[in-house]
Amino acid sequence: MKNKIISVTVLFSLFSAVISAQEIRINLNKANPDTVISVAQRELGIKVYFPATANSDSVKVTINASKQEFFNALTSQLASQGYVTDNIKGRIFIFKESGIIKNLPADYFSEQSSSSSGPSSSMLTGGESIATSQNKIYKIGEPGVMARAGRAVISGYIKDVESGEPLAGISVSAGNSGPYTVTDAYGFFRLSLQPGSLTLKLKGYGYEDTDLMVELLGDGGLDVLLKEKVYSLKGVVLSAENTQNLRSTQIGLEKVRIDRIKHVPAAFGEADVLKIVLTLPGVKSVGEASGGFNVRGGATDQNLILFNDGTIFNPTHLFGLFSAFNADIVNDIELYKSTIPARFGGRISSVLEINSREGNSKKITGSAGVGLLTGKFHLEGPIIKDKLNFIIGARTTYSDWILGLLPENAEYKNGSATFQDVTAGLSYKIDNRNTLYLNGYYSRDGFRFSRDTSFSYRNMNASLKWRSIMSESHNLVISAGYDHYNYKTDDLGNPVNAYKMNFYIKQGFVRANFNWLINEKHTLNYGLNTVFYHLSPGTLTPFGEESLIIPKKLQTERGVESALYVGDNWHITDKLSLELGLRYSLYSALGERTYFKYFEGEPKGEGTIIDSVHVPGGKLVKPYHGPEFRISARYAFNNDISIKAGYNSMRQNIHMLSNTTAISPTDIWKLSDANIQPQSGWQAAAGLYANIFGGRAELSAEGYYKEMDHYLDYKSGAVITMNEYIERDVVETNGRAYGAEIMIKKPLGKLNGWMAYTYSRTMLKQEGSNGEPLINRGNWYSASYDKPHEVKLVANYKFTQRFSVSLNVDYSSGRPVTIPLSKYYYGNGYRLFYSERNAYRIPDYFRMDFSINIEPSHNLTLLTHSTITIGVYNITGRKNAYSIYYDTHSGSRIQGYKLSIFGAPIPYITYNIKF
Amino acid sequence: MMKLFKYPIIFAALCFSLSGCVTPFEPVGYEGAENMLVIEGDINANGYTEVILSRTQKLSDKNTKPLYVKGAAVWIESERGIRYHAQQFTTTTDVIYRTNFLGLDKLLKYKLCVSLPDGKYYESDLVPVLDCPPISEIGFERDTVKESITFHVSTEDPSNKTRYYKWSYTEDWEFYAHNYAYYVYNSLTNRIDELPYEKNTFFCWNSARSKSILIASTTHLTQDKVHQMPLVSMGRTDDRISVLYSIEVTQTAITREAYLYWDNIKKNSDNVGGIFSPQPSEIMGNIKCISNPDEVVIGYISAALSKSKRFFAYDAEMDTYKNYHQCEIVIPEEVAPPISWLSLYQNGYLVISYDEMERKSIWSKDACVDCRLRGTKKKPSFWPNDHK
Repeated sequence: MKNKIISVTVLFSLFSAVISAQEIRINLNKANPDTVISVAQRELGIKVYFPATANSDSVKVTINASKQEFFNALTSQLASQGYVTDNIKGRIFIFKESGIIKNLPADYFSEQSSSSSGPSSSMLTGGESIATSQNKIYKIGEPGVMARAGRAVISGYIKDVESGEPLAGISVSAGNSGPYTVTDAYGFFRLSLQPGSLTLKLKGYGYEDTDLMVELLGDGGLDVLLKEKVYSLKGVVLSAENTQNLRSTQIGLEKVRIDRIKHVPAAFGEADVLKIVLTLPGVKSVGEASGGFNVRGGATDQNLILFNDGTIFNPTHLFGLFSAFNADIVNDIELYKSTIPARFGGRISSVLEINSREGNSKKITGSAGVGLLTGKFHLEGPIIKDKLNFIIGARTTYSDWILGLLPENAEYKNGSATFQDVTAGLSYKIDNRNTLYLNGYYSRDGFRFSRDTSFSYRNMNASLKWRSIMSESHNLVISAGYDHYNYKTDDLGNPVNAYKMNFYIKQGFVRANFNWLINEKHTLNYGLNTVFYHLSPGTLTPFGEESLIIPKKLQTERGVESALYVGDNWHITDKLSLELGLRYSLYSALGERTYFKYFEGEPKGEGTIIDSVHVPGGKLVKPYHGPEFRISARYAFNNDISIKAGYNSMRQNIHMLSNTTAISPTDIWKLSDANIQPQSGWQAAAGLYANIFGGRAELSAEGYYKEMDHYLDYKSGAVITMNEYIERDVVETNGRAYGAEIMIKKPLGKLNGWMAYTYSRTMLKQEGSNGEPLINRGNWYSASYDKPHEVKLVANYKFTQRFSVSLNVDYSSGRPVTIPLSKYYYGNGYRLFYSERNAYRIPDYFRMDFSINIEPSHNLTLLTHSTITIGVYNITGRKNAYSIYYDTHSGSRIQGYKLSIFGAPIPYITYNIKF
Repeated sequence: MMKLFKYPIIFAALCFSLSGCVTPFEPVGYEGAENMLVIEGDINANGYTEVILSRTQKLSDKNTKPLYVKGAAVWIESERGIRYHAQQFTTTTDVIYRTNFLGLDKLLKYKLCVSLPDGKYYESDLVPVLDCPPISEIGFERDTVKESITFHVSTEDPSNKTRYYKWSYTEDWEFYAHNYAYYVYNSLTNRIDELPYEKNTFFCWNSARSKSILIASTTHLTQDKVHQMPLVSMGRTDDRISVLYSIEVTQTAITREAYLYWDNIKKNSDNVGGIFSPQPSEIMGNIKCISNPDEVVIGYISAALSKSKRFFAYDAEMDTYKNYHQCEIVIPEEVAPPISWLSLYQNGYLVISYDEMERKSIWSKDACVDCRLRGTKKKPSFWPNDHK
């Protein structure tokens, strides 16, 4: 019992610090627990928790002690009656002592995981334990069973005590400054430590900080069940529990958990996974309700959006009004803005990883919700308890009424708009070391603009993943899947011109990722990715007897992209750590394909063709390959301040061709081939991270410089759809971006949220061939999303557990637009002459949203929990400009216009129910 | 080519219900370049070629007339060097350069040359003379939902050679004042006199020329056929369709380059500003400043043998016009206290009828009585009725 005594001493010293040296004595004579609780509260201002047990009424306490001695006296009094005391942040917990468990039953895993947090000390031999409470000491491993001499590896899963779901992003550290790791998407952690007695500190967003006393004897497992933080009505001091920013080597990593997303006011009250991304520093969009986002000056197609490993090509519904992800299914999102781990590749700007939950492993639960435009439903739970879990969710819209609001003679008065999405996941735990995951996703949008024209697009993804813990220090994840995106347009208005057009992209992928904890200094991450692309740029078919449309099918594009990578997380000292990554990427378009060779250095066109080349099926058209470097370093001055710097380079083989400012659903994706080079880019960044206000808030300041090469822009008058020779209509653009981001984040407390200021610039420059007319004559010009100043505020204030308010403020400089330089008379009417691209800025953007969240039935014992959110989007009703444009009214009159998308306060109400 | 949907409408709907989404806007602190030369003048191989020289204007320029360039030497030159000079014609409003009636050899190529008084010399590329098939049909289609009418043109080239088309039109229409005035008030004599039929202010005519860019391509079709290309649309209250409407459509064939040029102007002028609208951009024309190759010149010169066709449509066939008007009648003698004729006249009223015996006159607002406020009494020579 030596360990226990040590722990009590530690607790006591903490406690004595809380109560200052005052000479008041406390006298208790055979006091019952209730009296102890009230005296402690009254005299010492300390909350004592004494859960009623069968015999707790018989507990009698007799104390005559000074304030300083009170806790000590109480501890010894209770210990003699079979109780233990524990001090957690100034609160005293009293539990019934239940003795020592010497040996575990064979089925301890399923039994223990659901047990309540009864206090116990456990001694475990050579197995894994499930830790649920702080007032016991866990002995892990058998002496001598170690991965390395003098070192022991402790690994395990961290899960939610209620639902059994794995918790990602929980930091695990030995003490305050010892070795440190963060749980991965599966809630798994692994730490190499010096054997002995130590305190494992677990901190995670929305979970109670937990200190576990561990007696580490050798390699072993420890699964931990964490309790969700229940906010007390009275103010509670909470430490900044997310030290990840300070401790990890990554720069520009943003993590947002779904409960945060659900509290941010959004248009129509639909909790939106992508809109939250836009509240983070360094992320911009060209305007409201536009599909894409720009990360640190990157283009919208330079973001890899992964939803459960599947690549999503169009992440929005209703042309960007909503994101295509069901917030009830999503667990968290991670956005890599700068340091991109070596395991990711294929896009040059950022990686947005959206992970769905695995589902409750204890019981079947679900939720349903209705808003102004959408309805949703989800269900999750075990099929075989603790073995096979499922989660499924679906959403649909009834947004047709919006079109009904159109003015009488509007063109789309009789149109309709629909969308659906379904997300499903299965996880099967084969044994303690192997788990299989099956994920599926389907989303569809359909629009009918009039009787004759309609448009629809679909995303479909399916993936299978196998996760295996190969040894104490080695694990692997292998996934394979299929991604699909297509769109269709039908225009049947004019019988002679009636057509149907179809575009699709399919890809199959295999990814193998290995994680190897070599020792406490090195964690190696290595693996292989391969993607097969199959892209049909367009099929045009006539519709109806009278149609004269020439059936046309553009050549199918195929390509293969493979990459080998290795990354080392090198923990040099407690203060200094490095992350070194190298990824070697190979890509080639594949036959069968016929393409033209053009005269080098001349604009590509019919006149400069020198040869026609046919590549037979299965052969490489033109291989491109090159290394990508991912390097970052961290130096911690102390527990509260660290600095980081990094460099990373990326390559991208698939391009989106667009001549619109926002992502348009009819944008074409194009693979690199003999005439179109892959894009490449690099970024150098540095940052300072600090805990401020006694660790209650985090401050981060990051700066970056970035360059992009071979980004495709279109030429004046380019035709993007159904163009067989698209290489003639595009031109390579180089880009450079730089900026600084400052963010203060208060993750927890009654008032929580963040505030960020960003200064950034993004400039583009076209590189053409001889004598080719270039945008701005080949000079640098601002990108459409170049908004230098941005201030973002996301705040939530919890008045009570049932009632909270949220505020969202967004200010930014106006985006650049191209407006005409002058007008001229031509063809019987006035026309506009445009010159410099993006030379004018629209007025600054400002928006404030407000919402009230009410949870009327916040009682853990109730079967259902409902929440009501009432809010107003754009509460000031500012008519923010989406764009400024000129209309010539067919040449008769020239007038400038400002288009606002949400030009008025938009109130909303949503109702959600959990069961 | 294919039409793209106007997605913004969906979003526009979001705020139409609450407040306006599109509001007029004037950029501040933005002054654009001006004074670039604009040369317009497609070479007409069988007729007069008219050339207009003008300068670009500031956007804020409230002057609604082009800034004409006077005193230039303008000529058409064939690839063999033969010149066909144009003369400057100046009216109170316009300045144009016009050639004689030419019958150019359509197997040769031509260019347009302009020499300005300041010595700068401009010329277009040599362009071929393109022939086109005749217009096969002009017609209209009513939209009963939107209560509008759209006139369209169709054509077909059985040899599949034309592929790129451009149209322009002149429209003439007859319309009526709402009230026929049999009398006229003379404010000098303060008398009401009879108005002879020849001087009626009831039947009027007006005309206009197309301002929109009307082009089409059939490269995506199996046959070189344009089916019901929309030319002009009118709502149910449009004067043009109230009595008799006539449209004369001129069709020319253009080259692919000319098509792309015009298409770009069209995109820059008409399809801008929406969420998914293409970004505006410029395409250079085929005119160069020889004396200063860096100078930007606006314009694209084509050469063609055009085809024309006229079409008439009567109100009864079109069946779309709704005669909404507010033409209240005032009988000044019956008002208490009575209003004098002069003050009615000075307030914009005109007399319609007059009963001398009872000294009772009927008046109405001038817009309801005098059609010349919206047109002229100049009846086109080809008009198929005997109205005066």
